[in-house]
This record gives sequence, structure tokens and C-alpha cells, in this order.
Amino acid sequence: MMQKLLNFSEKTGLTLLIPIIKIIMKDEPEKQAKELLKLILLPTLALSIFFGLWSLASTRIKTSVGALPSPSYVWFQAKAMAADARAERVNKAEFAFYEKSRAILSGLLTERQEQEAAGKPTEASDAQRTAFVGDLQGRVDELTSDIKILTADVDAAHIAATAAGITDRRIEPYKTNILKFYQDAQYSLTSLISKNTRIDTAIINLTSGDEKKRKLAARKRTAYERQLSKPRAYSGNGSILDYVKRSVVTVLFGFFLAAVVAVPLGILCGLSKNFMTAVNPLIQTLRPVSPLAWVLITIQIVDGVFVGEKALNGELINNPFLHSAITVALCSLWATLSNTALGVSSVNPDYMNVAKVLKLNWFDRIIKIVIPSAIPFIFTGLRITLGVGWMVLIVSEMMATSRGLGWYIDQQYQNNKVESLANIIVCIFIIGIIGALLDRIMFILHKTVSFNDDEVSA
Amino acid sequence: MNAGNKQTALKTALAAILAATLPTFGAVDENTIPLDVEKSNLHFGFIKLTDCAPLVIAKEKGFFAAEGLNVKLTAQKNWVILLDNVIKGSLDGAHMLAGQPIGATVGVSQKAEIITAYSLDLNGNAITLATDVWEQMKVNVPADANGLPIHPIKADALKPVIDHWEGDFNLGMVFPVSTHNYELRYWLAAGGIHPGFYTAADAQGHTDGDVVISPNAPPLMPSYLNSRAILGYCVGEPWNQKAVLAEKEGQQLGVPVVTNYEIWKNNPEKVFGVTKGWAEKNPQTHLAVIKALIRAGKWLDASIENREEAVDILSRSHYVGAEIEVLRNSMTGTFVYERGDRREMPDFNVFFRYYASYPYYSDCIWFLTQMRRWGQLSEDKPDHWYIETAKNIYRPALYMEAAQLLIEEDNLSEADIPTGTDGFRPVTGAGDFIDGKAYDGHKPNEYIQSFTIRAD
Repeated sequence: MMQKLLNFSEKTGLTLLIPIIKIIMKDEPEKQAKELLKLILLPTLALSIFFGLWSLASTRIKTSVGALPSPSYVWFQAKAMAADARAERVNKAEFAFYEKSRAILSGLLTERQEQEAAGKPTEASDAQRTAFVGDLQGRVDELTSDIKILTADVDAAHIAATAAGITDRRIEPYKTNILKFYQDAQYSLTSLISKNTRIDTAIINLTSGDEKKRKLAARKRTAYERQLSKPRAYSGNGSILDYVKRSVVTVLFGFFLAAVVAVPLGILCGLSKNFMTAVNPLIQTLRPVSPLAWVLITIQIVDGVFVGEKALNGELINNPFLHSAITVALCSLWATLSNTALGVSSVNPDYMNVAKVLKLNWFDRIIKIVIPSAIPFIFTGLRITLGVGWMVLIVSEMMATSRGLGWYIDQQYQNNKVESLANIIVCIFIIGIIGALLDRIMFILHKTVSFNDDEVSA
Repeated sequence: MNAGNKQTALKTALAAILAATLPTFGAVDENTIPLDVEKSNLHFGFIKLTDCAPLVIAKEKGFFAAEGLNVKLTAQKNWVILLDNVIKGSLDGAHMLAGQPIGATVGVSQKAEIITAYSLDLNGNAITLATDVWEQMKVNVPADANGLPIHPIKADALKPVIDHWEGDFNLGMVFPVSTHNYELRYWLAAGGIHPGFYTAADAQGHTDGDVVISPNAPPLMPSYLNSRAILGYCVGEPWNQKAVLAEKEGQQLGVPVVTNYEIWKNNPEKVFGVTKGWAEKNPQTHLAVIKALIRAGKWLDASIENREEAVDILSRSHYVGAEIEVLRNSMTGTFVYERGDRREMPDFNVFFRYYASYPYYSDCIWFLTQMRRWGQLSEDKPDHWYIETAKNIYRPALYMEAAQLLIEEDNLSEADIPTGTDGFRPVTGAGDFIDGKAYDGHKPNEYIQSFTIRAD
């Protein structure tokens, strides 16, 4: 069991775990304790120097928007961003509740219409609708009392902050956000209830003696019922979690595109000297091109293909998503291409001779011999590709207005204040951590498929 | 900023939050009769400037929702990308420079048919110069009894500085067909400084210029001023007030010297633009959007409390995102030139008063005359061309249709809209333009001919 854990740590490069496991296994405990101490102390030392220098810089460097945010300010902002993300979840839940209520109410109204048309009595469905609206009112009342409590809390926090002289921080970000979202929810639900009431009034007025009144009632009823029947998509602003999610999906999609193009091309290059000679100048020319140049041309090409009616308008899959994903692919596929070519061209000639003897056809030769022996190389390439892709993604999202981390950073930059500088720094850490995680995953995959562990360096 | 100001800032922020918590049940959509919209989930773009306010307010105060519109707003990186996204269909519509639909339709910038039926605001821009440039120019500006400079400041005061300037005098504006470009050139030319012409060979507009004017993204102007990439700029709020608040070597980063209200009193600024194709495909949706925008504009100009609340909403990170104090300076009727020199400017941002949101043909024609004046339009055109082009791009009839619906619903009164207009503003008075010229939208060629500095 312990040995398995040890193998796992070695495989995943979690070097910190190795001495701990060895100590538990009583394998040279003293030597391992020293090793562990080193593994903890040295990075701690480096980190303290880093944060020390940063703190020092933040007291000295004045930017055009104010002082450079200190580590503690950035930490404060990180917590505020986390609070925003939690609040956003509440907002999504409130929205889902509204959408569900709207659909139910609309269904009940349609039912009533059908009953009217068929000349059936409507009392039962009316009663059902009244009961449902009563439930909604219950939810509104709940929200109202929550809003009261939140308002008191937020106000108290503001007064306390003013007394303490704090003006450059967001006070109670979570509660302030929730307060706003609850108010929105309260408003939407009240409006839903009031629309139902207005429909009821219109239904009564339909039998009025005054023709003008009757006509207006009919118009209003149709208009409201039609409005209620239309589904709404979530139109909130999103939070850091949404941006991270979008960025990760984009880079994985771009990575997938890069692999799909680069691996087959790389195999061809490795198999055929002539093919390599033919495409090499093109590869060498396109490889060093900056993402900033690629993204501009990608935007134009994608928008030229998916234009007007064909424009992609999905929540996730839309034109800006393709702009950034394709840019990622264009900038990152080269490492996989050249590594695959190298791997394929260095397949042991003996294997190929055996293949000839066995009279394997071309396709079988690739599947059974070429790819398996080139796999370690291909994975080396893929690992670099993913790393490059993640770096390229941020800048391509900035240019393409794709609502991921890059877009968010650019928006913050444009906000032009100290708070937004701190947000950018938080994002830099998030980008770094995700990049390191992605690399770790590729590293593990690479180790898993390699025959010789020495080929892979952490 | 002193402690007293901070206190008031917080108190007003608090008041805004309290105001927002007061029950306003059903108030917004009580009378609204929603139209049969073709598309209810919409995506609009905007640039981080205070004059995106009608769009933000229509969303946040429930005016869009009242019309059954579910609107998502996304800040765009710059005006080119914004327009591209509208043309390509990624966005349904957007906050646009008044010159953008015009430029796109006549082919001065990206070519596409864009129309507008709603003007978002009047005024709202200023020209800011680096503090050291201002120090040099200040000696030429007459002062009042208190030693404060007398406004409006004309470019005549800047001319001697530029005449003796070593190297290029770089200035920033936001877009080749933007109001800012024309206002900056207008102001410079009125003071005898040649701003440069656009020619067939020079799409940058630098030919014959005493200065070098180039486009930059609005929110980045203060940074560029800080790095000396530019010595001044013409941009919308809050990016002029930002230069006052920002520090460089113990002084304010830049000094706003003139507002566009002083260059042309109540000049048109931004519009809400959509493609002609989109408008034809979604006529009821378009009408519903205009209805919501009219109500948002009216709300913005209804009271100072509403402006305070708008400042609070706009300061959110997803909208303009600048500090509340910076936004408040211009949105609540005052303007700071130099620190300590705060002046009343009740009409700095106008969203609805003076029929601000009605899309006048004459506004469109003014932009066309400036495109001709600076050489973006290379050929002379007859007066009727100007008028027909304006009628193709500006759609006051649609505005009126939306307004009539609102009047029927009791959400608007007759006094809010210009009745009996032919779509042209009256000829401007003598004091309206900084150079004293009179502008009559019916006679564009006469107007163009009246300038001494103009392209052939």
C-alpha cells in the first residue's frame, strides 16, 4: 500500500510526499526528516523574500491609478472575488426559480385559454393559479424580510468603515451583492404576480359594456400572456468562476484542434522525407508568429464563415469562443507537429523491417508500429502545446472579447483603479496555478505512456 | 481629495443604496403593454464611458424587462471591435459613436449599413492636456479677478506652445469618425492650429498638420498621457476627470482645458446603433428597445437623485468601473478643470432634456460636413446627397412610433418629444459654436465653405 503511494508520488512529481511516506515506512527516517525540512523551508524562504520585496515595492511604486496593491490588499480582493462568485450562484438560483415560475404561470394561462376556447369551466385552473401565485407571494415576503436584514447589515458595515476611515475597499462584498440580487429577484417575482393580476383584470374587463375598454383589455391580455410565454436566458454578469471555466474549456478545445491537426501532419512529415521537405519552409515561417497577429486574422476568417444568420450565439460556443480557441490551436500546434515528426522518423528501422516481413499494410504499420513507438515524443509535444496554448489564450481572449480570464483582465485594466489592479494580480495567480495544474496533468499522462522514465523531466 | 469630500461621497453612496431598497413594486412595468418581440434574449455591446448609461439603466432599472427584453451587456475592447461584432451579428446592437453608423454607411470606416433611431446623449466630452503643457499655455489665457482662467479657453492659447514645441505634438482621440476627432480638430482649427487632413494616400489624417492626432482606446488615455505617448486627448467621461484625480510627480496628471459643451453647446454624442438587416428582421424588438431606452433616458434626467443612483450603478466593475468620485464629477452637473477649480456645468451630460434622445437629421449632416471638411469624404456632394444620406441612417420616425406607444401607456408625456419638427434642429445661435459660426442642417455646403481650414 505504502509502496503504491510512493510510486504514485514519484509518478505525479509530488516530491513533498516522498519523504513523508518514507518516514512512515521507517526508511532512513532521519535522512528523510532532513529532506522534508529542506523541501519545506527552502520554498518558504523564497516565498517570504518574494512577498517581502512585493510589499516593499507596493509602498514605493506609484502607478497612474494609485499605489501598487500590496499582498494584503490583493488577498482582500481575492476574497471579494470569491464572495462575488458565491453571490453569483445565488443569483443563478434565483433566476432559475423565476424562470420555472414564469413557465408554470404561462402554462396555467395557456390551459385557461384552451378551456375557454372549448367552452369548459375555468374555475379549477383559476383556483390552481391563485394558489400558485400565493406561493410566489410567500417567496416575495421571504425575500422582503431577508432584504431588510441585509440592508441593516450593509449599512452598519458602511458606517463602521466610514468611522474607521476606509474608503478604498469594497465593504461587505458578499452581502452587498446578495442584497442587489435579492432586490432584483423580488422585483421580477412581484412583476410576475402583478402581471397575473393585470391579466385577471383584463379577463374581467373583456365582458365590460364599454367597447374601448373591452378592446384595450383584449390587447393587454394577449400582450402579457405572450410576454410570459417567452423564455429568458440568464443575463447576469458572471463571476470569476465562469471566466475560469470558459478559459479552461476554450484552451482544451484549442488543444484538441491543435492535436487533431498536428499529430497526423507530424506522422506524415516523419514518414516521408519529401513531404517534410515540401512543408518545412511553411512550418518554419508560421511557427514564430505572435498570437496577436493570428487572432486578428482568425477573427476575420471566423466571422467571414459564421456571419449573420450563421453567427454562433450560444452561451459557450459563439464566434468569440472560436476566435480564441483557433488562435490557441494556431500558435500551439507546432511543438506537437515537430515532436511527432521527430518521434516517427526515429522509429527503430528494425521494427519497420519486421513490418515489411509481416507484410503489414500502410495503415496497420502506422497504427501498430509507428504511433506506439512515437507516443512518448507525441506526448512531449502535446505537453508543450498545452502550455503554450494556455499562455496564448489570455491574449487571444483579450482581443476577441471572449468572456474568459483574458477578457476579464482587460476589462479590469480599463477600469483604471487600484482595486482593478489588485484583481488583475489575483488573476495572474489563478492563471499560474491553472497552468501549473494543466502541466502536471500532461506530465502524469506523459509518464504513464513512456517506456523509459528518464525521458520525462518534471 | 479631503476627508470631508470622502464623507459626503460615502453618505451619497449610502443614500443610493437605501433609495434602491425602497419598494418600487411593479412601478416600471405597471402601464407597459409589451410588444410582440421577435427576439427576447438580446446581447448589446458598450464601451466603458458614462454615456453608455441609458443602456445600463434600461437593464438595471427594469425598462428592458418591462418590454419583455432580456438583455446581456458586454463591454467591448474598442470601437472597431464593437462595430465589427455588430456587423457580424455577435451583438444585436451597441452603444456607438454618432459617427460610426454614418462612417460605416458612407464607407469612411468599416463598410456596413448601420442605422440609429435613438441618440444616447449630448455633450460629455472634454479635451485634456498634460499638466506641463497647460502650465506653458496658461500664461496666454486671460484670468478673472480670483486668478482663475476664464472659460471657454480657445486653442489660440495653445498655438504659441505648439509653435515652439520640439518634436511631434501627439494628441489622442478615440476613433477616426468619432465626435472627439471632429471636436478636437474643430477646436484646434478655430485657434489657428492645423490639425491635419485625411487624403487618399493618408488614411491617418496627418497631412499638413501642426499636430499628430491618432486614435486610442478611451479608458487607456490617462495611461498614455502618463507615459508621454500623447500630450493630450479628447475623450468622454470619466477619463478626463480621471486625469484630474490621478497623480504625476505630485501634480495632477492632466488638465481638462475645454469641454465639448464649450466647443458646441449641446452637441450630439453617442447613438444606439443596429444593422439595417437586424432592424428589418426584428422590427418589433427594435421598437421595444427604443421604448425602453426613451424611458431610461427620461429617468436619467429626471432628478439629481437618479443621477446619484446611476453613478453608483455605473461604478460597478462590469459597467464603467471607475471610482464613484470620478464618475460623480461629471454626472452630477459639475466639472473639475484644475484641482480646486470645480465649476457648475449642469448640462455637461444631457440624456433627455432638449429632446436629446431624438435622432435629428441635422446632427447626422453635421458629422457628414466634418467628414468632408477633414478630407475623409474626398469629393464635394450636393446638399440633397447629405439630406438623403441622413434620412437613410437616422430614423426619427421609429423614435416617434416608440414615443407614441409610451404616451398611450402614460409612460411619457407629449412635452417630452419634439412635435411638429421636420427632423432638423433650428439654426444654431451665434454663441453655440466656439468660433461663432451658424450651422443650418439644410445647407451643408454653405457651412463647409465657411471654414478657412478645410480640405480641397
